[in-house]
Amino acid sequence: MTKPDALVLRGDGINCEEETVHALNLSQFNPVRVTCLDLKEKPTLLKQAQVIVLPGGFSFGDEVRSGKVLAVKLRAYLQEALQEYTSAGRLMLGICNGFQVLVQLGILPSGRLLLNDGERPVTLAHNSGGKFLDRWVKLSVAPGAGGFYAGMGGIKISLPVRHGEGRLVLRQDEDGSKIAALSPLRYEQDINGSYDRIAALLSEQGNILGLMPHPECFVRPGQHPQWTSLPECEPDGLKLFANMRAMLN
Amino acid sequence: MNLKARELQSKDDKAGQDSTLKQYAALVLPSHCSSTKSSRLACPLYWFALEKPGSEVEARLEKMSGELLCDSVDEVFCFAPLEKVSDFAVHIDGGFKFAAVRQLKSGVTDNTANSVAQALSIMGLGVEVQVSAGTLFLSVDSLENVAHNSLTEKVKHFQLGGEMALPPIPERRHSVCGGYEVVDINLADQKLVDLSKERLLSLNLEEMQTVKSYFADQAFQAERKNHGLPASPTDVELEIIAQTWSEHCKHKIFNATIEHTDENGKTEIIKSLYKSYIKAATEKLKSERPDLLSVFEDNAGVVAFDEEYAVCFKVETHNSPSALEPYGGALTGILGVNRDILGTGLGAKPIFNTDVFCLPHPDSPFVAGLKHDKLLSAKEIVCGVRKGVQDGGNKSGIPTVNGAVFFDDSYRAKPLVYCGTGGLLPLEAAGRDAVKKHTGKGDYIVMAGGRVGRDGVHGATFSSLALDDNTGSDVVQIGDPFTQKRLLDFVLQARDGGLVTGLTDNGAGGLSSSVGEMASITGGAVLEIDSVPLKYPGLFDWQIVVSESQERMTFSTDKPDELLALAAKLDVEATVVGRFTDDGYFRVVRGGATVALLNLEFLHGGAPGLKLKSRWQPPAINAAKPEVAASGRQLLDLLANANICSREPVIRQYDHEVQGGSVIKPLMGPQQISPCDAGVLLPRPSGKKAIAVACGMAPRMSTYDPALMARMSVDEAVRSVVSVGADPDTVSLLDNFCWPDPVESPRNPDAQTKMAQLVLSVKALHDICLTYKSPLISGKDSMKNDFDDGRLRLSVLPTLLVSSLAMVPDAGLAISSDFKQAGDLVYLLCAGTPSLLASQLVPAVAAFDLPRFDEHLAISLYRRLYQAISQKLVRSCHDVSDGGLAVCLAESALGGNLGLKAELTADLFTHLMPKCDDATLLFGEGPGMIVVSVAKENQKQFEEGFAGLAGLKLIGSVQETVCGFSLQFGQSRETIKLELLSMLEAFQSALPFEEDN
Repeated sequence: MTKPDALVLRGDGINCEEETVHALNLSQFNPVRVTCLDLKEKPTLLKQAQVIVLPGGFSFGDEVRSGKVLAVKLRAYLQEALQEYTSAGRLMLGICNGFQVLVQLGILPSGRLLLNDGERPVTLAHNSGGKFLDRWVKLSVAPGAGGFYAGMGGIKISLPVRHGEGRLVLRQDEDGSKIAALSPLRYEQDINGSYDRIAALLSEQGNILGLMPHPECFVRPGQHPQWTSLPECEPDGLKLFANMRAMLN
Repeated sequence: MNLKARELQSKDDKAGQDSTLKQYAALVLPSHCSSTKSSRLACPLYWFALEKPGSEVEARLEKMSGELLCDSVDEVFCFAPLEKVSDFAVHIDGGFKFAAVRQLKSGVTDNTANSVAQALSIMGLGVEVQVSAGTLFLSVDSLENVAHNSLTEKVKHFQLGGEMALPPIPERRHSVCGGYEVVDINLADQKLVDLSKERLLSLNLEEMQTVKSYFADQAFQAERKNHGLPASPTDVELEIIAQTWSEHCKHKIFNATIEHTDENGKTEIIKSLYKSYIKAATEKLKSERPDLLSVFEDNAGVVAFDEEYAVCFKVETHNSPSALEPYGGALTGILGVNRDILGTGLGAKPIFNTDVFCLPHPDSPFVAGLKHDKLLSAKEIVCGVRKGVQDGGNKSGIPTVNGAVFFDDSYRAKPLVYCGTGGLLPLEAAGRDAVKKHTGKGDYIVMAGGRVGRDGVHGATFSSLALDDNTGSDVVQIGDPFTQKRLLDFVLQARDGGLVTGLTDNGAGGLSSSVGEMASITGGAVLEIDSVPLKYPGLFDWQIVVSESQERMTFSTDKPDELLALAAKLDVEATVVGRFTDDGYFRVVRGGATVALLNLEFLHGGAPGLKLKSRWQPPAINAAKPEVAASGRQLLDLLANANICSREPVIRQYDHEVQGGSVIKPLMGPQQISPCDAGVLLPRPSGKKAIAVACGMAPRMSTYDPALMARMSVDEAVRSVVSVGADPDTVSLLDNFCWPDPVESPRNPDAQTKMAQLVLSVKALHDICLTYKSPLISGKDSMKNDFDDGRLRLSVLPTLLVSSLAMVPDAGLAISSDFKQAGDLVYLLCAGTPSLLASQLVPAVAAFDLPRFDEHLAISLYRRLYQAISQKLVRSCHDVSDGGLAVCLAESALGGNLGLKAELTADLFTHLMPKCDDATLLFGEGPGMIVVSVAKENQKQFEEGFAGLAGLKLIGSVQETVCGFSLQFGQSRETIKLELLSMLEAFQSALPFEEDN
């Protein structure tokens, strides 16, 4: 069986592409590293892709607001191609800075690229503690979650977070319950002031996922901070990539 | 004449005034910002300038900048021509009465503005726009303390309610000057010294005389004539010589001839400390260590990792820049050492960073009591340095895996900022041996990355001077991690594509140093400075050649077109700036005319050596022995000591997991609080073999016994990697000396003692490296860590940082420091004894014994421990460090959230010393000690592994959490009993790293 391609965006200050590629390799994908310019110059790349992953990092140095400038660049280079891609219901995964980019594009939670900034219902703002935070957190998967979280509904998982701007904020008068319903993942403890402790957002169709924690950094048991005293377990991050692979079947 | 006057700065600024520019301001406020919710706000403020804009362009700028800068979900955008900013007032809550604008000074790197300008261009603004980013502070109360650095930023205060006016956009520097001048050096001695001082050349009389006689050489004069050069040197030539011969680049003190007199009055002559001891130690170990692929040659030491890869490691310091501008200094420090790794061999990928800070504690009475207008506050230094390393590491995608923070009053004026980086280097790249450089005659010189400006002019010579009044603001550098991340991607792709034959960093000394050094591979180079891309016009020729503008690397290539095409694709600016030759000369050319011509042999080998004197007299330790209570209260106080308490507040702000390779993180265990002795990571994610990285230092011991200081530093660095499961026979070490000036002058009367401290520590370093069979693979020295304004002189403690790198053959066997299970037995391995001298409790001179240390026993114990770890007999290991045994045991208990019952008997160290007093037993610090926990069922096998060796002591057992921490000690058999929670509270009491905005 040939492995399906998964596009992995790189360049412009993205810096988690190698471990993302590694996670995709472990999950039977064929990862293909691409820059914004590659996607612009070779439109077939995006046309034929089934999966695109926006890894974590500090695109454009996190200046102005995390993810903002890369979102501006993607919009300028690929507006129509992205509209076509998202409306076709194909898979998209944004991790940390990649999640921030998807939120800035309006793709999350709406599931489509929004042209008017005023339509975006949510944004990601500075952590309430005002600081960058690297630590492992416990998260609960929403009951009944499928797709990316198939078989994980209602359980608790562990993943690392590494961000300074992960606090989900709603536009005033936005219906909170609507947004809450789109979150498959919540922090067990309030680590950054995020609305309803939301750690991830899923598009309504379930094909686009963005999350602040880093699933690509828990694909080996020895990445867990307590591995030296725990029995070996299946790493929670790897499950997510395996599920994404299963969604293509 | 100071630096500023020479550069005609004020004239430049006026020349930059351009009346056709129209300026705008944009302010981003939080939605529903109210003064009742927060009494103080910091809002992003931007300036724009357009040249002769039409109304259409203006409207486009307003629209696009609004879309870019403001997030309509939670922000409000205000935009107006600069003269109409009063319009902003309607958006500002009336409760705010006071405001302040913080703005960068002209010429200072503005990373936010650069990203904004790039974004506006991508969005299709279509015209060139000048951007500057700043901050508007709003406050209910008066705003007196707006954090800013007066070298790089200015602050303007005003009250709200009246007319609002903002300062104009910082001007771009323009000037009409440029070119070079000829400098007469046919001068008498005093005039030569004056010339060196005026031009900030930092060359001493002998060096100036050497230059003078070099230019008097007839053959050289004939060659100059051929190139149309005058008989006297150009300022370009003088500056190149000064940079190349600077202490920073040439390590004159480590290569000096030293007359050393020991305490018995016996005198010896040492020709180069570096060659006689540091390099010599490695040479002697080379036959036993075939993994040493490149040592002391390249930008970093390189050791073999596996069949396909090598690892390399380099540690640098950035002390003087961090004293002036802590954030920028630390940021450029970490980015600079990253480039050293990128520039090793044909280009290594940075895979980890380390950071060690020696800082003044803001609350120490000495620090708080010392007010000086030339010194930043300790708080500013501490917070700025921390933040700089955060941005440097995190934004580059390199995990910070190990480090240390040490507070001492001696770092009040010059903080020590050690930045280290490790890299992964393929043994072969595109068919070439990638450990070596392959620069050939005829190869093109390509400069890539950032542009050249006046920032960092004279950085190398400046770091070799004591900080004083005349230190110019142009030496300030701010790094740009985003530009460098692009450069990093570029380097690795160029290497894999076979597009480079060699490369090196543009660090200290700029092009003069990078091209000058690479030129010695082929035997010559021609640098065409009119091709060098500049940040702004009007640099003098010498400034272009020696500028230390950041994020630049120099490449040699035989495929310039392909290399430039790759650069364009990755948005990296790359330019051909010359060729490598073999005529023996480093030649600088502008518009076809030669402006500098220097023989490479003279440049790299012509500097006269220094001759220095060293005299050692051990200090009298005669003060009374202070009373130290052997109590639980004392243990809690120590856990809350700034040099001991948890580093968690710093660690959490550094990304230590990016790249996915972490095995042993800085904090481990069920609550992620157990401080680990070394970082362990997998260089290749799918592999089994890992590397361990750690460091050691004992600067307070320098005053009493510099040799013991060096031995303890090496021991700690080795012991720390052994404690996480590394093989002690694979350790490679790096030495970084940061010393107070050991060169005699009227203001430095005890220079000979400082020199003696250096001699003794270097000799001891050599000896223990041989005992441990741990070679030194790279090192650096910084020998002028003094502040002197003519009245006040402050010098750092002689500080040696030893960093270690070792192999963990199976990552699955790595060990963390937390106790794992109640019932496990707790052992102490001891090849050294504790002492309260120079400890956290008694930092000053007092009548205590020095620690004793049997280094042969130590390395034997470490080898046996490694065997035990390989047989899976060990549950936890923790090295005994600051705060002594009691603190070490407390950390392992807290780390595992488990109790402890142990007894430290007075005769614990009888194989090394007679009975130990209670306080020393509990809190004394010393080398050679590790606490180990072992499952009960493995007791016999574990103990058998140490058969025939003294120094393995069973001291207690791990208990359930509820049992708490119980430590019996000494002849009295008194017991310290504490609950874990109270210990945790003390341990996590904040480090002084909280920032105010």
